[in-house]
Amino acid sequence: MAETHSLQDLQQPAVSSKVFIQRDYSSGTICKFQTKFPSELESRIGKQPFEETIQTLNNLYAEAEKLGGKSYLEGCLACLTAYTIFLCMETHYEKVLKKIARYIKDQNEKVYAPRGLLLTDPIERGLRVVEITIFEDRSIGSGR
Amino acid sequence: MPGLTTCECGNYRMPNSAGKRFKPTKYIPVSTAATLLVGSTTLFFVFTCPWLTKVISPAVPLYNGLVFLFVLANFSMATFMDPGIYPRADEDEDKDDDFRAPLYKNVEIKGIQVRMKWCATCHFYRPPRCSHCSVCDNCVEDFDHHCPWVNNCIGRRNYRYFFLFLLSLSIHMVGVFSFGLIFVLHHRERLGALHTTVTLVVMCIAGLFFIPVMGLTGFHMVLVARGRTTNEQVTGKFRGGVNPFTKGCCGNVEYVLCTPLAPRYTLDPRKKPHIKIQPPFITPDLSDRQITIKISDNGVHGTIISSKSKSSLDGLDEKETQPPLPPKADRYNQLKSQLTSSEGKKHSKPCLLNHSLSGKTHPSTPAMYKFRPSFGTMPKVHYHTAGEKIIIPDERKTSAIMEEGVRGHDYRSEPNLDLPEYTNAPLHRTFQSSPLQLDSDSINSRSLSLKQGHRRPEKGQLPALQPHTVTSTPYKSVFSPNTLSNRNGSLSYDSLLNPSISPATASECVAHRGMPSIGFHSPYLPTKMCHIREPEMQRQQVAPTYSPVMPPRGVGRQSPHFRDRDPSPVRYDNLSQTIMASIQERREIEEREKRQILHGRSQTHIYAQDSGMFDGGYGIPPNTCYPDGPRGPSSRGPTPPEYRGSRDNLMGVGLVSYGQRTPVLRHAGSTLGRAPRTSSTSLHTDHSGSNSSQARATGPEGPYRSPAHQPHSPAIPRSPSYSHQKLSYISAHERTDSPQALKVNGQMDCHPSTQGATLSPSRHNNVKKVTGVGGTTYEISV
Repeated sequence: MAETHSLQDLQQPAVSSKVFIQRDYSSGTICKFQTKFPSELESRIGKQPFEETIQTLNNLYAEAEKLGGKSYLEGCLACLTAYTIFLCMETHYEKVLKKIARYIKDQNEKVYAPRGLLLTDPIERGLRVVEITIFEDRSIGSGR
Repeated sequence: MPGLTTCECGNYRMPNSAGKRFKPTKYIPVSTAATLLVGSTTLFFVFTCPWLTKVISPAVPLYNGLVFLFVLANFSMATFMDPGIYPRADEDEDKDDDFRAPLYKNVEIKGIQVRMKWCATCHFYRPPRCSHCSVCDNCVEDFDHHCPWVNNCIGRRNYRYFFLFLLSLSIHMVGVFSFGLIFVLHHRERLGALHTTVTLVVMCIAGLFFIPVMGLTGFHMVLVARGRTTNEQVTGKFRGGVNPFTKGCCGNVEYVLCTPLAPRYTLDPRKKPHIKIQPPFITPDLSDRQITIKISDNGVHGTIISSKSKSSLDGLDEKETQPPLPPKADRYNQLKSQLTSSEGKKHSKPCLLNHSLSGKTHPSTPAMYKFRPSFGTMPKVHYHTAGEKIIIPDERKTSAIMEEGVRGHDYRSEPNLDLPEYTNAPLHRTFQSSPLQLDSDSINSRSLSLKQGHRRPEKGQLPALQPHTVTSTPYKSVFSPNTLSNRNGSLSYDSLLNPSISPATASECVAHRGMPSIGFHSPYLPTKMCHIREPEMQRQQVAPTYSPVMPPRGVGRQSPHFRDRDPSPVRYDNLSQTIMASIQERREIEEREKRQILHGRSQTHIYAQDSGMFDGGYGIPPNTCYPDGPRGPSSRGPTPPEYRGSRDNLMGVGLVSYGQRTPVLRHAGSTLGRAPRTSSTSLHTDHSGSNSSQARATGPEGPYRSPAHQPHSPAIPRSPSYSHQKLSYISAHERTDSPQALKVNGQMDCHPSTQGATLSPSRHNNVKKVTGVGGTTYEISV
C-alpha cells in the first residue's frame, strides 16, 4: 500500500493494525458510514470525536450526492456542451470530495495523528470503508 | 473530445491493464458500431441533407446534426467513462475480511435483506448492486451490464450516458430514416442515381438497427422507471421480492438522469498529505466515572460472546457489537473490585493500579477476535497510562507481551474461578495450594524488583480473599477449568523444567497409572486409592521441583496444604456433574457439529503422536505461557496474580506432567487421554466447547485430574513432546475460538472470550481458519 510505504519512509511508527469503518447501507446506496465506535480505538480516542468525524463525513457525502439545483444545472450544462464541460470544470461531487479531503487532513492533524491514528480518505477505498490506521506506540513498549 | 477519451481511459483501466494483453476481437463490436454510426450519418449528411436543406428547411440538417452530436457524445461517454470500478482492496483490509469466511454477508437495506457476496478477486464484499465484470475483471458499482458495443461496462457512472445514448440514438435513427424516406419519395423516378442509392442504404441500416435499438431503449426505459439494473432484472434478483433501491418512478428517472456524477474511485495515486505521527500518543483518560459505569452495566454479559462473534462476521450490525463489549470488561472490573475491595483497605496503591489497568485492558479483549494482529500491541497501549512505570519494565523483561496482556484478562476473571474449587474439590485443593504458595513467592520476589514490594502483603491476605470470591461466584468453578488449562501451566512449566526428580519415579508411576487412568474419571472409587497415594508421593517430589523457583519458606508451606487436600477427588466430580449437566445439554447441540470436525482432527493429532494428545488437553498453554507465567501477575493488579499463580502452577503441573510423560509411556498416556474423554464428556461439555474436542474431556478436567498425575510431571524433564505440544496447543486453541461464538447463554462468563483473547499473534493462521468455521456455524445457528 502506497500510503504505508510513504509513511514508513518518513520513519513513522509501524502500523499496528487497521480499523475499517464499513458503509451503512440501511438507507440505501447513498454514501454513509457506520457511526458505531470500533472497540479497537477505545484505547486511543474517545467515542465522541470519532463519531463526530464520521457524522461529518456522512453529512458531507450526503451533500455531495444531494440532488440540488446546482448539480441539476451542471448536468444540463454538460449535456448542452456535449460533456466537454467536464474537461474544464469540477463536478459538484468532486468539489465536495476535495472538501472531504481537506476535512480529513484537518482531522488527522488535529485529532487523529496525535493519538497515533490515521484516517484515510474513503475515496481511496472506493468509498467502501473508512480506514483508520493504528500506529504502534513505541514509546510505550516492547520490542515488537 | 479526444482529450476526454485519453484522460478517462488512461486512468480507470489502470488496475487491470498491466496484466492484460491486447485483444483485438474485443474491439470489433465497438468499432463496428462506431463505424456504422458515424459512417451512415456522414453519408446521410453528405448525400441526403443538401437536398433537404434546399427543399424543406435548413433546420433539418441542423436538427440532425445536433442529435448526432448528442448521440456521439453519449456514446463516447459510455465507452470511455469509468463505469464505477472499485479499486481492489489492499491486503491489510483483505486480511481483516478473511476472517469472515462466509461467502455472503447480509445487509439490511431499507428493511430488506440484501446479500453481499465476497469478491475473491477484489477481496471485499461487493457492495449492494455491485457486480464483478468478468470481461473487465473489475467490480463495478451499480453494475448494469457489460456492453460490447461500447466495449465497456455500464455501471453507476456511465449508465446515464448509456441510457441517453440509446434514447438519442433511437431518435437519431428515426430522424435519419424518416428524412431519408422523404428524400427517396421525392426521387422515386431516379432510384438508380447515386444520392438515392446511398440514402436507401442509410435507410436500410437505420431500419435494420432500429428494431433492436428501440427494443433495448424500451427495455432500459422500463428499467429506469422501476429502478433496476439490467443485471438485477436478468438474474431475477427481485423476482417476487421488493426492490429496496427503487425511489418511485419519478425518483428513479431523476436519479438516473440528474444526480451528480459520482466520482471515480480509481484515481492515479494522488498526493497524500503527509501527516507526522510521532509515538508519544495521547490516550484518552479513563476516568473513574467510566469505570463505574461499566461496572453498573455488568449484568449484560450474557450477550457478549454472541455479539462478538457476530460482529466479526458482519461488521454492519451496529447494535450487536457495540453494547456487548463493555460488559465483558465490566466483568473484570467487577471481579477486580470485589477483590480489591477486600484488599484495597490495606493496599491502596495496588487497588488503584488494578482499576486503571482493568479499565485500560478490557478494550483489547473484544477486539482480539476480529483483529488478531493487534494483540501484541494492545496491551502496551492500554497499560501505559496507569501503571506505566511499573509495567513497562516488566514487559520488557518478559518480552512476551502479548501473552502477558492476554493472560492479564484471564487472570482478572480467574480469582473467582479458582477459589470455588478450593472449597469444593479437596482433591483439587491439593494442587492448588502448593502452587499457590509458589506463586505468591515468585510474585513477591518479582514485585520487589518491579513494584517495590507493593505486592508483598498480598500473600498474607490470600486466605482472607478466598472466601469472598467463593461466595460471590461459586458457580464459576464449573467453568474455570478450561481457562485454567489454557493459559496456565506456564508457571509450573518453568519450575518443572528444572526438576530434580528422577525419571524412574515418573515411569514407575505411569506404569501403575496406566490402568487406573481409565477408571480414573468415571468410577472414582476404585481409583481412589491410587489418587490418595499419589499426592503423598507428590509431596516429596513437588517440593524439590519448585524449590529452584521459590524461596525455602514456600516449601515449608506447601506441605501442610497438601495434607489437607488429599482425600476426595470424588467430591469435585460430583459437583461438576450437577452443575454441568444443566449447561451441557444446551450447548451440546450447538457444538456437536463443530466438535465432530475438531474431534476428528484432534484425534488424528493425538493418536498419531501420543504426547500430542495430552498436551492438547492439559497443556494447552504451555509453550506460550511458560516464559512469563509468573511475571504476568506482577504486572497486573495485586490480587489476581496469586490465584492465577496458583492456577498456573496447578495447571502447569497437570499439563506438563502429561506432556512430558508421554514419551516415556506411550501406552499409558494414550489410555489416560482417552479415558477422560469418554467419562467426562457428559460432565464437562461446556469446557469442551471452549477447549476443543479433544480437550473437551481432558482440558477441563485436566487441571483437576492432574493432581493425581502430578507426581510424575516433575520427574520428567522437557521432552521431545514439546514440539507436539505446540501443535496440539494450537489446535486446542483453534477450537476454543469457535465455541465462543456459540456460547451465547449468559451462564458463561468472560472466560471463553478471554480465552479467545489468549490467542497470540503467532497463531493467526490457525486461528483464522477456525474463526471462519466459527463464523459460519454462528451464522447457521442464527
